[in-house]
Amino acid sequence: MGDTDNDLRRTPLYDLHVARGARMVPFAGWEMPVQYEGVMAEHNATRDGAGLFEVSHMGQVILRGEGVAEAFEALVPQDIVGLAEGRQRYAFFTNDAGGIEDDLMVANRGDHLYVVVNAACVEADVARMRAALEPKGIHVKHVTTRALIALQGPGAEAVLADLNEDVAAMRFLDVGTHALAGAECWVSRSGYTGEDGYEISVPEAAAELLVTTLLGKPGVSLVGLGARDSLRLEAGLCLYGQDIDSTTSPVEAGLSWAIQKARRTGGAREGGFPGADRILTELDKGASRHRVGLMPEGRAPMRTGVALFDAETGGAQVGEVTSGSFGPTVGGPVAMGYVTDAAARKGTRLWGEVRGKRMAVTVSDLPFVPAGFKR
Amino acid sequence: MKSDVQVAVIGGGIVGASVLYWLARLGWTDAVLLERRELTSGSTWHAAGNTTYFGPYPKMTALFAGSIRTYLQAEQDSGVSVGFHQTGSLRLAATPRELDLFHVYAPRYASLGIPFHIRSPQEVAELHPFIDTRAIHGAAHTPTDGHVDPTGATNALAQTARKRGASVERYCPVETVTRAPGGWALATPKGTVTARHVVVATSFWAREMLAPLGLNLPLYPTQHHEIITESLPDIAARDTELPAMRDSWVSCNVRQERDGLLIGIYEKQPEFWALDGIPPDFKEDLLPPNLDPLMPHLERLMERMPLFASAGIKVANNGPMCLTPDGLPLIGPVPDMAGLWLATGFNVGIGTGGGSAEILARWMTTGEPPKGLDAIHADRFGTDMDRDAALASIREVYTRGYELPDAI
Repeated sequence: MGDTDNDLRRTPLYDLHVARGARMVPFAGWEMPVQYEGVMAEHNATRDGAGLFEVSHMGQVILRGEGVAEAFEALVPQDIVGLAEGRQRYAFFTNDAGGIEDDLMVANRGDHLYVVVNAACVEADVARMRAALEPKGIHVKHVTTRALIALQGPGAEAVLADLNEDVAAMRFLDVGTHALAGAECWVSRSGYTGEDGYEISVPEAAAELLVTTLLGKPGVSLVGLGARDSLRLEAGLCLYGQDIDSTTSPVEAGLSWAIQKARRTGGAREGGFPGADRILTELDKGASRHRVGLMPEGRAPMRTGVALFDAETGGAQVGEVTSGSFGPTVGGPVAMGYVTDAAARKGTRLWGEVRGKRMAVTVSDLPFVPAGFKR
Repeated sequence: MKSDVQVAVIGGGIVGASVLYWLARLGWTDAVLLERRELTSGSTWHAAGNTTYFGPYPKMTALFAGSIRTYLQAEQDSGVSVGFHQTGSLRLAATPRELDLFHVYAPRYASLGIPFHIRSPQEVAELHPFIDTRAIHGAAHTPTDGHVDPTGATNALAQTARKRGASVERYCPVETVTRAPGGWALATPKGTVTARHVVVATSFWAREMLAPLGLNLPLYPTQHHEIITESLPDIAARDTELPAMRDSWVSCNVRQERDGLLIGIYEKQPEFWALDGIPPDFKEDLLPPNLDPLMPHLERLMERMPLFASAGIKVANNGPMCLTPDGLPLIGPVPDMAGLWLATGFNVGIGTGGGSAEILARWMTTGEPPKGLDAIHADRFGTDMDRDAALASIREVYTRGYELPDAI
């Protein structure tokens, strides 16, 4: 068993990906499948049927102890105390400058919180949680013996309900424990594609059987990181490290919706999270730049880092593309990026400079493809 | 026939087929399985196929879980049905102590990711309306286990292994196992096979097969009965299959078989079989049934499950069942005999065979022994256990049936 790439880690389903023809690439320290048949086909399979993703590279963490919800609120601007049992919520760790250190999903699973964080941030996140929570008597457990998979698309419910009918009754952002293919799985009705679907934490040893069982159902296809990116981009969802990072504030990023009233000015537990000064001020007064959707007018995708100008020649730089690719469902290139307040209005025409040439883009609403969640 | 291979597996029952499957999956495809007659000949063909996740030893539970997964995976790989019936199982608490122990075990199931619930007598009655719950204290319920068809599972495993490049030789009895340069030589009527590694998965035959090498494996066949009833209208009228039931007080397991019941008994006076050597012409044979020692248990079962009292008995199968002095299989390398591995001594071969094979195959292909599984290591009995001591210990294990051990 040669370690060809330095220290790259393999997920529990590595062999399955290879056997199914995946092209494996290094991603956040892991060897991950970028595509099987092709990005377009996988993208469309998810929008039309059910796409199956392995996301075991992401970090799963259990937080347990008296007062865990209150303690966790010191790290995030979300209402965790008010998060009902069996429910999940989008959240982010902030820093003292009001930037975002990572975005995450947090679930109230009764006697503990279950947190899923980005692969590239796992170590920092676990260290952050240990430092902040352990002194308060909270036990922080990084779960490394479970795989994480996602089943996404309009066909996901019927497919998963075939294994356990209880999952059909779950609503968007419900979480629960359900037996699937004989294993005890932590299931949430959520995802990263804008489609209805589920994320499933399954004991490592049981992962392959669950996945091959799902792949045996009609309409289920394996989907790699390539289509995952185009799906989430069409859905207007941020990729940490690209669309949001330690310098972007949640308000700039258009994530104000994810900060509940209880933590805002005048709320029951106002502030009390890192960077509250900046974030609460921006919530009140607005930010000076905004994350927006961008529709390039031509056929060429506009990639990360493309500078945006307010004129076809000359003019001033008003922003930058943070994510961009071809959107198979939209049928054309789509992008998102940050622009100044003045340039952020929907319909504004801007020009992105690609290899010295300025190409027109129009500021548009996000998401590009409406979400199919089951509320 | 391949005459020079990386690994030869001797024995084409559920265990040997599982080992071949896992070795092939892990890349050891230069492999041959040698079976003296047909796949499943021996004990597999008459096994009940029960696989439960319940058990007092967490490591063994992992083997059970791995077994069901292995068979279902082989079914998907081969397209051959393994006939899995996910009925779930109830382990009755005949005493308050048993119920207490179920609570002790519960966290381990959580850590293994196996659904495990403790049910009240009322809940047991809902899950299994034919159990008289008045005298029980509850039950441990593992809803995702059940039983498989042992023949289907063996064939699915063997076919998948063959697809990956391993081969299977039927009607190829191994006559002698001897050391050869760099490995082992196996003499068969079709010629000699040399192999770097040999896995002995020959159940109760392993003892005499390896005796010439100076090994004294303390495994012997007991006689074990299974009773199948005629169809029962009350069962036929149901639209879901009954969960399996295991009960220390009756000392039996009961599951639905078609519209009747299949009952396995661990009686108080077990008989051994073929202590002076397995008959050379033994094939897919059953032994003459002897129901008298079973009667006290069947009477208790009529109390526990009154429906059984109204059932006609269709067949009583008495077949040989291999046991070791502690009831656990022998898995792993033989000391000082490089390349010789055991996967034998299984009394519930369907239940633990698939998972044990994964453990063994990973051990063989990586050279790393599994962690925390000393309890099943092949060398734990040494080589000087005399026959009387072994038989006494096996008798004790057998008669203990479903009683839970004191110390965990």
